[in-house]
Amino acid sequence: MSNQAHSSSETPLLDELLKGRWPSFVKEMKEMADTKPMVRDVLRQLEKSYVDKKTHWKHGGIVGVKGYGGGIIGRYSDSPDEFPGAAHFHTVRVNQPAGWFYSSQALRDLCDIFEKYGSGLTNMHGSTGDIILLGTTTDELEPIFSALTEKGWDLGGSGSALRTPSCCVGPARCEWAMFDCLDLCHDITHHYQDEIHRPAFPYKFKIKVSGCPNDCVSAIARADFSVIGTWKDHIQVNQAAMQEYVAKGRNPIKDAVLLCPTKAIDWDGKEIKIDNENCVRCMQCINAYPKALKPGKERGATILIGAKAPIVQGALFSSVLVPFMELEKPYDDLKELLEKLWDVWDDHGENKERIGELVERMGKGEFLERIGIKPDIQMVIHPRENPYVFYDEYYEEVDEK
Amino acid sequence: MAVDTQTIADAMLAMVTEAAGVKRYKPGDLSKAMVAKFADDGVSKDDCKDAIRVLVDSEKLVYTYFNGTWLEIPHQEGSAKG
Repeated sequence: MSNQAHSSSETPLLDELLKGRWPSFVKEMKEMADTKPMVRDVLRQLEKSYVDKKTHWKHGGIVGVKGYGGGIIGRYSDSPDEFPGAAHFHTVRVNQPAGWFYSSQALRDLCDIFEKYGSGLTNMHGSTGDIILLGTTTDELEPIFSALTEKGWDLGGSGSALRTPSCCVGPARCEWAMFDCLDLCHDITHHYQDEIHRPAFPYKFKIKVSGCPNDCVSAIARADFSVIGTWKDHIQVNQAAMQEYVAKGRNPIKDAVLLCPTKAIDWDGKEIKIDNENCVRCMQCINAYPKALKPGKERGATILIGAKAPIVQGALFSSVLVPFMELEKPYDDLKELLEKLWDVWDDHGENKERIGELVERMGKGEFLERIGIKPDIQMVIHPRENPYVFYDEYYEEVDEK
Repeated sequence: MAVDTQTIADAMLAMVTEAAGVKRYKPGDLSKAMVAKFADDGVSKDDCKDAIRVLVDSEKLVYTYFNGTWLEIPHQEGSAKG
């Protein structure tokens, strides 16, 4: 078919998207469609989906590279005769480097590989964190994998496996990193290669690492196992720097005192006072006055468990599992904890049950007992709703009487 | 461990082969079954992981994804047929 024939007339509904104020994926894909039959058929199939009001993609199946159980997301067209170019349109997940730092040469290599073996389309980083290469065929999977590994890349995680761990830019670009989150992310990625590439869990498991409580990777909302930098001792205060801020017109009452979630900070017009016992390390005051307030010197991370962001059932935030853990190479404490969690989840998790859902079903008390961690006040998510709870001690007292 | 990795792998393969077309097994299902089957020999989850690796590397079993990850005998699925 000529270029003219597969221009606007082929996809009138998609063409509507070109009329808006904002750039549309349709424009870019149409430009590629002239040289990539695969892209052209994907557009045609999408047009059909708009008409039929249903997807024409089939998800899953046997798609992978030898020895790996993840990293490729199978997509097949349900109308391969009508759209032969889109018959296979698998997604390749490539394990991103910690903190998403690339050389321009590395990006060129990636693009060249995918131009050669796939559609040439990418949305760069998916919500998993991996580099996402959109659309290739089953026959090209092994060649693309070889080309990627030759350049030092590896596939990421998918399915019921440990997903590619991700982290913020950490100490490489940010003064607030409480530990070397880039190194931790890199270390656990290498240490748990089996768990990433050979799915063996009841369902997916995501580890996300944020260097400080600002939590730029949203670990608290998106990771089954959230590692969020924090400090144990007191916020470091520089009163002179605070007075300089005030002299330049800043208002600590407005910017810090009124915004503190636990009312742990006060400003008397001369000095800032912090009630460190009640500070929840939210970083609000530190972000507002970075020259005057700094995190404490005893640094590490809080480990939280159980977030997920599903569509069908309500999202869960993760909750505290270990209030404070020092994170020094080789991260043995963290690895020991992770492996205990996986053991309990393996033994008690149901198919497609996230670890947070298991904790909810089992009860956090029993879960903590099984992994050998003592309950702590900082693990409480919210006050008890039902007052009719009787503890073992109550029954023991009754028995004694 | 009194049984070797190949013996565990063979037992896993027999289990998957017998159930092919009727029931799918997750890697965890196979491991739990083998730990129970070879309980007297002290087979561990790690031994089962090794056995799965042997089966996948030799392409006797493949990972599939249908609403969860499974281990199955290689076959051409309907979706892949043109």
